[in-house]
Amino acid sequence: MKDILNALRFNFILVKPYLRYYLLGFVVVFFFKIMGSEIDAVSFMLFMLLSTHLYPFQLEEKNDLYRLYGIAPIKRSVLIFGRYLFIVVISLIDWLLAMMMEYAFSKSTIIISDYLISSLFIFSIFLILTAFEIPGLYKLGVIKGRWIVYVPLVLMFIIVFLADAFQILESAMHWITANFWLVPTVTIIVLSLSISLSVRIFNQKEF
Amino acid sequence: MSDAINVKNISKIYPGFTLKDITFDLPKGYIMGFIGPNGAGKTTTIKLILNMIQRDGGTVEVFGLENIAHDAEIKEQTGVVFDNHYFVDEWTLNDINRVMALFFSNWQSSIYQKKLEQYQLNPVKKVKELSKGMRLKLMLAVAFSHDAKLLILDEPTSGLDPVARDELLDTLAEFIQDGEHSVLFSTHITSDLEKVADYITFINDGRLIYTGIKDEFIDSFRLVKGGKEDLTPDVKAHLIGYREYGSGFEGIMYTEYANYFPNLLSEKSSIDNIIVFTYKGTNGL
Repeated sequence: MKDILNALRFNFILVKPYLRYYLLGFVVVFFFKIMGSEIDAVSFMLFMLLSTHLYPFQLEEKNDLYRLYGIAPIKRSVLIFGRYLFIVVISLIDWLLAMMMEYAFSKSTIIISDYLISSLFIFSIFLILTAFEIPGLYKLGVIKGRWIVYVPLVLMFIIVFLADAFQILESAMHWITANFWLVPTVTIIVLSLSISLSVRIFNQKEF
Repeated sequence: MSDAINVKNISKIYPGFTLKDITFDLPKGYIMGFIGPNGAGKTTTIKLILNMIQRDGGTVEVFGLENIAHDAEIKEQTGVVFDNHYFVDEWTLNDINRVMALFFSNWQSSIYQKKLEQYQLNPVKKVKELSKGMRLKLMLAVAFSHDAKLLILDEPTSGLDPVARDELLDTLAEFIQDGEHSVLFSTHITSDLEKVADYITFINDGRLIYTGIKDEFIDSFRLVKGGKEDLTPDVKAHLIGYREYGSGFEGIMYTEYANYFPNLLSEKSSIDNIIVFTYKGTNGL
């Protein structure tokens, strides 16, 4: 566990050069919120979230950090666990900040419990979709596999669009709300499968 | 005398290149020069030792431990210097201290700080602001700060000025003094090896040409010279590689054969000449 936490801390040190862009992103979201441009704020937030996932992969490839991994006394699987944990933590930070911002700027009364459940649902869906992208990034690298990052976003929009078009969006939402325990369960299962696939890909990689 | 590295019959197959049956032992307390022309397979061999790539055959032991099963244990005690650094350009030298402390259980920040001071490296500088020589010193500082018993250097001196190269050689000589530390030093600047190496392993085109004591290696070859008329088919058959020029030729021959041709001028060869002529001979140049 200590090694995994070290790998997590390593990811935060790794993305340090991008920290200023990350903070600047929040200023932009804040600005959109003040201007009342809700769609721009949400879109930019999603874009930021997806870009943040890319940072460690980008830096790894740009600086040929595989050589560092090759000489460091750390298991490859630990590096993978650290990366997933980093993505979960950074997504959690973004989610919390987004929630706080939403709460601060909300014009109508918010029922906290409803709000928590719906945003937790979105967060879980986002993690599930992210779980599909990470093995792809390990397999193809960030230059060849950049497009994979945007697949979750496109998928999310397609699913919502189709559900809406076939008029099942509302009933689907009701069903999910009634069976809310399914969401974290599916998230954990999908993430576990994704981790195991990434470990397999990374173990075969030649540095 | 125990060994720091035992490599036995390792092979690696790539499309268009095969590293085949490389075998050598590096005894503890010595420096081994690992030589060969570009593309000979030196970096591939080093990566196989470090378990950075998967081998297709053979075995590797470091400190008597099988290198795949004991990967982390071996790497705790192994310092590596590549031809280029393995850090993020934007990191400061202080960031590297924090990163290495996460990876190496025996990392000693105080030694790292001392080494930076000794090498006159400013800890708040970014990696991208360092010169080639300073980056080499940084990698050495990292290697020494986790108490590496084995140092593996892959072409560290290419692009370094003679002063920086000389400093590195002094550092290596000091490193092995206690008889417990060892160095595997891959380079094609062979004059460096003539100064510090005790052993030589020479590979060419993925094949092992020689492994053993450096002086025996140098003594086993002779640089022979002669006029055009001296380059008979018999002489050609005994030359490992040669070069013809206007008034005659020069080439490399095993010492035992050089005695068969008393008419040829025979002299001690440099390691450089051995590599160059072996390469020419192998490639029909």
